[in-house]
Amino acid sequence: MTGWRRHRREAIVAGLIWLAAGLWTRIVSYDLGYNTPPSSIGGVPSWVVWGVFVPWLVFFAVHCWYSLHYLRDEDEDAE
Amino acid sequence: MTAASLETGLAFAFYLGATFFFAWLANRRKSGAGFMEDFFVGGRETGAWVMALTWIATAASGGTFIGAPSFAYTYGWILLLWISAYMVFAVTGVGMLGKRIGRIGRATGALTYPDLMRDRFESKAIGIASGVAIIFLYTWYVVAQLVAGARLLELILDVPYHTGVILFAAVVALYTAYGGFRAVAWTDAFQAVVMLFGILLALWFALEKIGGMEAVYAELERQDPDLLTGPGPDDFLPLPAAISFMAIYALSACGQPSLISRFLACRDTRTVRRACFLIGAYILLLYPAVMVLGVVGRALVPDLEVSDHATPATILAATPPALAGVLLAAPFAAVMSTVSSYLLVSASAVVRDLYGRNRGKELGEVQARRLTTLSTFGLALLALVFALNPPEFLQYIVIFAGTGLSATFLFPTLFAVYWPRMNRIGCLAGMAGGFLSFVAQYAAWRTRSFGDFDPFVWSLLISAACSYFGAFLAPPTRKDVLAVYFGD
Repeated sequence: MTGWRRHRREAIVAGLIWLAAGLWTRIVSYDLGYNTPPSSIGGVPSWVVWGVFVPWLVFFAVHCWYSLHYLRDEDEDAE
Repeated sequence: MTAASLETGLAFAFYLGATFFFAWLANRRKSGAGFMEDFFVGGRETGAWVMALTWIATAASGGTFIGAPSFAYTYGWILLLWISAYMVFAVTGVGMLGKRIGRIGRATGALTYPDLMRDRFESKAIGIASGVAIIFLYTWYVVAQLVAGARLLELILDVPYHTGVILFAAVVALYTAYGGFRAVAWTDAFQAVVMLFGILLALWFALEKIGGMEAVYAELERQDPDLLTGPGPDDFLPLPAAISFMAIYALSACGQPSLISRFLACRDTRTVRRACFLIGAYILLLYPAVMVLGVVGRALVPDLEVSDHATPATILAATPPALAGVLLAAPFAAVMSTVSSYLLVSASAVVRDLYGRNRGKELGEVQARRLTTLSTFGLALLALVFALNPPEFLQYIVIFAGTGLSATFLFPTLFAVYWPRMNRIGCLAGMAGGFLSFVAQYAAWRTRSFGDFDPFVWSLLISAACSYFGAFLAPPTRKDVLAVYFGD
């Protein structure tokens, strides 16, 4: 797959990554952090650790895959 | 001036000197392209590092360094969930449109966002409507940033507000008009480095001073346990609002003309791909640190009368004066880089989209240069007039402008570049549907619309539906035009 169809697929994958990040952060943070007594991991509320910091690291790995591997270079002069 | 504030002032002056040095350096490099291409898209020669840093410096404004930490100071740890959409900001902001827009820009010669839309749909009306919307909404943005810059000068160097706002507007307009996109991009890049190191060092010093995260946790628990959990004090972030902000922060960047136009300056697709990686890495280091600094500030300087002073007050409380001057340049850099980018986009809308493309013949180089300088200073002056006496409801206008731009432009742009069936009626319907529904919701319910969601969420959906169904009300765009965009 080349050209604009390839670009469209890359955009759809970006949208799916956004959706996955949204589901993880909202579900976990709501479950652990809303209307429950606070608890701490090293001075950081535990819901922040599992609902924000851990997914941030996981999605940074996804981001690395997406930007360095999945997005494809194009030789525009050759097209 | 005390010895401490003299040291701070000298460090700050050094930062301003360095900014002008980078603008001068950038202006010495010409691409050999015509004035318009050189001034507005840097001759399409921007590499990955400068692209990444200018993109993020434009996205990170006074709100990132002053407004958001002020919220973190007031509402505590819930702000980490509030900004968490930034974890995929680079993927959505660059991946959804960046590569495609850059590719189309190089193929069609588009210099501005309205250029791009006007040519795709062969519609003067779309070009003019986009240009007018950009000038109107970004002028308010510039007003807000000028106010933030002047407030910082007031707090850091005791410069009276009115003197500060005039100085600030003059400095930014000068280097924007002097060097165009390349100067803005290079100074943005320098400012982005200042922002990152400034915030990381400030956080390190603040944690050293208070005794680590455990001490912060204990102090916040003592002040108000709601600062540690959701939805935060005063029901700050109920679940529908949390879901809304996942859309607002991750998707609004895609629809901002100032960020879209950055991709028109990219050298090639490799540049976009590498810039995407660098932006994600930068955000990982910067955004959580900015928010945690606001939370730490609540423990370190708990009795601030104005929460907007959280970032500078925390820095001043935690660091030696000379270093404080350098670190305080971080929020100032964020404000400056955003103002310069918005001025450039607005000036390009005046010169290129409202005047140049509607006069029947090409602008000459001397005339284009003169008009661009005049527009840049004219727009800065207009913003300055409002900033001298800022309206009380300014923050509402800023939030309105930011999300309103995206609600108006995101789906028409996505359909324009990814869907061959899209036509000018679909584009106009999408823009009108997004903009009008947004204004109506905002007027009626401010930031909480149906089901407690932000108006942005509903307007995006309405704009998508209007774009899609509107496209079937008219024939498709001509095949020879489509071949330029979808021929590969």
